[in-house]
Amino acid sequence: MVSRVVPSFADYREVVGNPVWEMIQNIARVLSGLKIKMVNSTAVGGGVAEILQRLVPLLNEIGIATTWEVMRGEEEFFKVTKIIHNALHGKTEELTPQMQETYRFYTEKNLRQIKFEDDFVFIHDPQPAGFIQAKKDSRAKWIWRCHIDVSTPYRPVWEFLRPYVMQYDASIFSAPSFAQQLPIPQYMIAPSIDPLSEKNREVPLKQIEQFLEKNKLDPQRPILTQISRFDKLKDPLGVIKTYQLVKKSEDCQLVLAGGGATDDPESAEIIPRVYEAAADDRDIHVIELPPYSDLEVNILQRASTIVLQKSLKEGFALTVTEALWKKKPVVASAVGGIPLQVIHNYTGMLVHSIEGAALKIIYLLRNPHIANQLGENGREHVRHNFLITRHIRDYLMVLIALQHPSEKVIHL
Amino acid sequence: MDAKPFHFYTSQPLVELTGLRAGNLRELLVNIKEVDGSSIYFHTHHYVREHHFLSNEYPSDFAYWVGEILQERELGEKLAIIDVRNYPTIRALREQLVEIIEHHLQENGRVREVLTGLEFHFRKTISIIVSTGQSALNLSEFRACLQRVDLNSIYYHLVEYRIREENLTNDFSQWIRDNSQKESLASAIEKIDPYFNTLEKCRQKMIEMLGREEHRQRLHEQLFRYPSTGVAKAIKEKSWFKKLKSAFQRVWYQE
Repeated sequence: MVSRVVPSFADYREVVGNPVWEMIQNIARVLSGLKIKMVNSTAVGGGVAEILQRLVPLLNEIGIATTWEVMRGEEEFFKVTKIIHNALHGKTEELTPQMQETYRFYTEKNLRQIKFEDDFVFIHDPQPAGFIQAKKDSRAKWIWRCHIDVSTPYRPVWEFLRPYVMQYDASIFSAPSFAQQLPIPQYMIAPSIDPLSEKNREVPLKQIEQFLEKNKLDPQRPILTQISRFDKLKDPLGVIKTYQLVKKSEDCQLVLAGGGATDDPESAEIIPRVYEAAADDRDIHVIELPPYSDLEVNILQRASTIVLQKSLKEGFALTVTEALWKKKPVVASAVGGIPLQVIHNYTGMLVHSIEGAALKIIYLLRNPHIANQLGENGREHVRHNFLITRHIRDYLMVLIALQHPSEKVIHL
Repeated sequence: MDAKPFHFYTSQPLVELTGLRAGNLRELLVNIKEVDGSSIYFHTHHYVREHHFLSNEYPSDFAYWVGEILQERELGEKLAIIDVRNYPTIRALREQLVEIIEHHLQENGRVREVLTGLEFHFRKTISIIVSTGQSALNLSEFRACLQRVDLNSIYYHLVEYRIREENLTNDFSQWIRDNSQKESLASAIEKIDPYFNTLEKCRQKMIEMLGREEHRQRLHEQLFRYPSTGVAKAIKEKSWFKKLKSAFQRVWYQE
């Protein structure tokens, strides 16, 4: 693969327009000299690491000194945090006293190795949430940035986490439905995609055609695609059932593509079940993507006729954002942050069942002009609301809001 | 004329979650009555900013949720038709929302519940006001600035200023009225509806109006450049000409 030059902040001027680009710099100037630390639990795989990989250098470029620490842990720790993750998504999970002890052990082990000499600390997701105990020895404002769907958490596990969260100066959630009863401010910041990244940049048509040929996909027939981790909550088996319903009335192909993340031991369990469900249907293409398959994801999304995201639970679903940016009609479950992106009948279609998804797909396959219009609207929706430049702006605004507590209108 | 410069600001929203939610019309009503005013403002205005490429049929979250999610189409339409520009205060707007929903509940006994996951979640907003660095001393500079600033700046001066100042006019019209006495232009800009036009379209309409005003100004200057002929003076004094000019301006500034 040919390595590409990493885009600089200046490169985003053309995508978002000069006024937005300058406005971000104006805000950054007010905050210049401040130091931020980002902490999460994986350097590779999953939406959080992907955002941080771009956000951190860009924040530095506009004058906000930002560092990024990755929490270290062994398999036993990530098994515990996966249980916490699933429970926050609503699954009934037991967090035994021993598991709680494992969580505390790795929290303290990591804290011995990280110094917090910054003005603001962003802790991403539940894995490093316990780091808040270092707040007492730091001058920083601490922010818990929750990327996952905590709209209906399994209460006993949330109650384990809540005492940590309450000690933060503020929290950030990705969607309105994730709001909790907390004594601290809860800001809503949607995640974002990088329009200039390998995953979202323009790709020559010839390259797309070569990829399709290599993967035995027919460019003449509709391609339905779901790209996401192989995870029960992404419902890959439901996607196959949806495709089978569509196939009864419209000829099409299905691509299920995804990978795992270093903090996700569950992926390995679901993949064999996906192959089993696909059986010998040659129009179902299961593609296991290794890390750093961004270009392949980009090509698959661009080659798709319709992009699906039939998740049972979601954080925000950046794969939806990516598809909308590529002007693809999206059929997606109304969960997590998806309704913020898919405005029903304007930028895509929201569904609540396998049957509903199949019905909408058939409708869009039969009405390509409507599919095109949804795609056009989706692109503009993302341009204004879900690009990394807006994400940078929002983080800067949280810093400002924390410097001006209780003010509804802040003049800079 | 010693005109006061017009400084272009931009308003950047930071959304805050309240934790309040509604799963049916009664719960929506209770929360609309009690929630912070900045939440009413957010739900009746953020569409203008976030979906500014769309001029969709539901210019408020309340109308969209009631009409599309709760499937109470009639009530959704009644909430959608509220012209927010007619309510100088959020308090007045809140009262109108309450009145319409209460009336609907009295007329229709049923209360539908939404599917899990589709509840209405109340949010509110913090505004951070930043200078764009752009300012104008006259209409020509004003027009040039309009072309340069971001849509959040258009939003701030056209929408947010009016709400904050509890005013029936917008910031642009106010400045034009105060500094150039172009009443026709000021009121024409007032008539632009940002709730049913995209912000970009609002910008383009204002730029066109200002362009026509500049053109008219140039014609005017050329006409009166030769006062010795007496023609200009004669024309100016004729009442029929004033009527014609007034009619012409009405057509000229028509949206």
